[in-house]
Amino acid sequence: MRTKKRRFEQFIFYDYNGIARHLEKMARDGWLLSKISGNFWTYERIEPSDLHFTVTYFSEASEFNPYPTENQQVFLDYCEEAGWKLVTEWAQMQILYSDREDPIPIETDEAVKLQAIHKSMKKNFIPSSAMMVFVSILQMVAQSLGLWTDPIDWLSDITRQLLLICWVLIGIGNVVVLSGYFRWKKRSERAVADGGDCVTSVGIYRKISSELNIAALFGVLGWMIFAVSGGMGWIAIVMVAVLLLLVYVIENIKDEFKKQGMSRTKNYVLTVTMCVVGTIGVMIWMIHMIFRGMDAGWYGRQPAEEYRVTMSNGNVWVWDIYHDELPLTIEELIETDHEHYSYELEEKQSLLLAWTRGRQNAPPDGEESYSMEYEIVDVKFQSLYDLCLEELMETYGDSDDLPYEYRTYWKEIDADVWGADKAYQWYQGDDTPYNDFVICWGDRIVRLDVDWDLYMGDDQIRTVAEKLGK
Amino acid sequence: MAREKFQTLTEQMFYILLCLREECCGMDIMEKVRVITGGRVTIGPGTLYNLLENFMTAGMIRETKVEGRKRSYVLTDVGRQALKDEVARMNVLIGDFRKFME
Repeated sequence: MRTKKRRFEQFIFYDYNGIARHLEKMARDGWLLSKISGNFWTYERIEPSDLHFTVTYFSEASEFNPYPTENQQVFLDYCEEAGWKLVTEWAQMQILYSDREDPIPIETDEAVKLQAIHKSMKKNFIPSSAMMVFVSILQMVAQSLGLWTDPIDWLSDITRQLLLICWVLIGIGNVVVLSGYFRWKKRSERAVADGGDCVTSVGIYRKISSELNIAALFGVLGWMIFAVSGGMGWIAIVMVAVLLLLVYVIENIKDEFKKQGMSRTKNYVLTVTMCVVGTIGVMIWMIHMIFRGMDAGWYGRQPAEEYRVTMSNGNVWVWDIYHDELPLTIEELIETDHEHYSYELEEKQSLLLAWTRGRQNAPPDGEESYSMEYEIVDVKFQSLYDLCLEELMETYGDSDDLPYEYRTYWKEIDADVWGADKAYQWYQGDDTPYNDFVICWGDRIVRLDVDWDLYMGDDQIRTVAEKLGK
Repeated sequence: MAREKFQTLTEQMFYILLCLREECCGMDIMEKVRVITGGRVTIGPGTLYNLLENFMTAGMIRETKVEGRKRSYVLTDVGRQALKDEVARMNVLIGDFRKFME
């Protein structure tokens, strides 16, 4: 029979009544709380008992103060005199229990209790929650920047969307618990002023916060699954795991310092130093592993074969050759007998967008060959269409003093021959067209860039439309 | 601020201050109040700790000695005056009651 168990508990820091009632139920079931580490609470087996629990807040207690401080010990002595024994603490929160039938409550003056709770909340809960809201906003901005700089890549990348969703959920979760606290405080102030007690229920805030946390957790899990399945994504997961391990180790060392009675300043300086040095160390190690892995070919897709070309100066070029199945190949447009073409296909898909890139090229081995590259974008929401079209038709602006005949631009061309709604071709000056096209079929946009030497007549255009069109 | 806060005393504040008319250890206050009031007023340990801290901040009591974890306190002149003011306030209430109700 196991004597210890850990549970994932989701209580809001100020939900003292909810926590006490939960611990009383656990004690009736034969489990007594012994330690709190964030959301993971450890219980030890006891004889099922009717114990009374109370949760109070001691503002002087903190993550760094030696445990217990002199004042905290005096407070705990008073509690012991009244029959209350300390179970454990969590920052300012002190959890106590009594086996007396009708113990004197720890707080007998509701106004004083409210004042003590708020003093404690100002020390840890309010600043840390506000900080999390701030960090979430920064992350939301950072994660969504890609939507403006590279919308197609962002809209088709479910991992980046999931990360953004996670930060939104974390941000909202912290706003919910913070606003819940201030509402609780306001309601309690009114009740106490009317001669009543502090409000015991945190209302719907706990339920909302708990559901947001679970949703964020699923978001992170989803992100991990999608990240692992794509290229170098697992590197991010290893990094998160190593950082979590670092946090766990530092947290335990800091707790040990507390128990040893180390002063607050010394503990704080040492903990922050460990965090900074540890994080820099992990970063350096990760960068080293990334470069080492890139050299060793640990990440991403490996080419089907490597083709070596020895140049006239004796240098050897290694060319990656892929054998992916492309929706359209050069051979379907023109006769070519080059033997070492690489056929590379990349695909990404989210609920908003599907993106495919096909690339066919050959090593520079002196044989006659052509190259072709195309991107196919299927827009799933009409409102995103213009954003994607704009990116595919992005130009890099000729300088103002460039003569007109050298200027480049997109020119609308006859779409009928493509069987499309719209078609554009890249031009220089008045009469120099490039083999670079943007073609729109319904909600599909294709950008096609084919070799200058590859003739694009009506037959070729029909083949492109048949293979890439919709 | 502190004067404003303690312009009227709750029963618990009143009896804590009354106990401290002579030097008394914080831990003994809970029991003393219970005895003085015949069990009518009880003070929880959290409330006692916070009120002693508030009284100290307001200069109504002072710490007299610290023996290990035992801390003793006694009333200051400010605290004594606060007690007298509270009694005077209650006397006014009693006077008004007698004047109009008896």
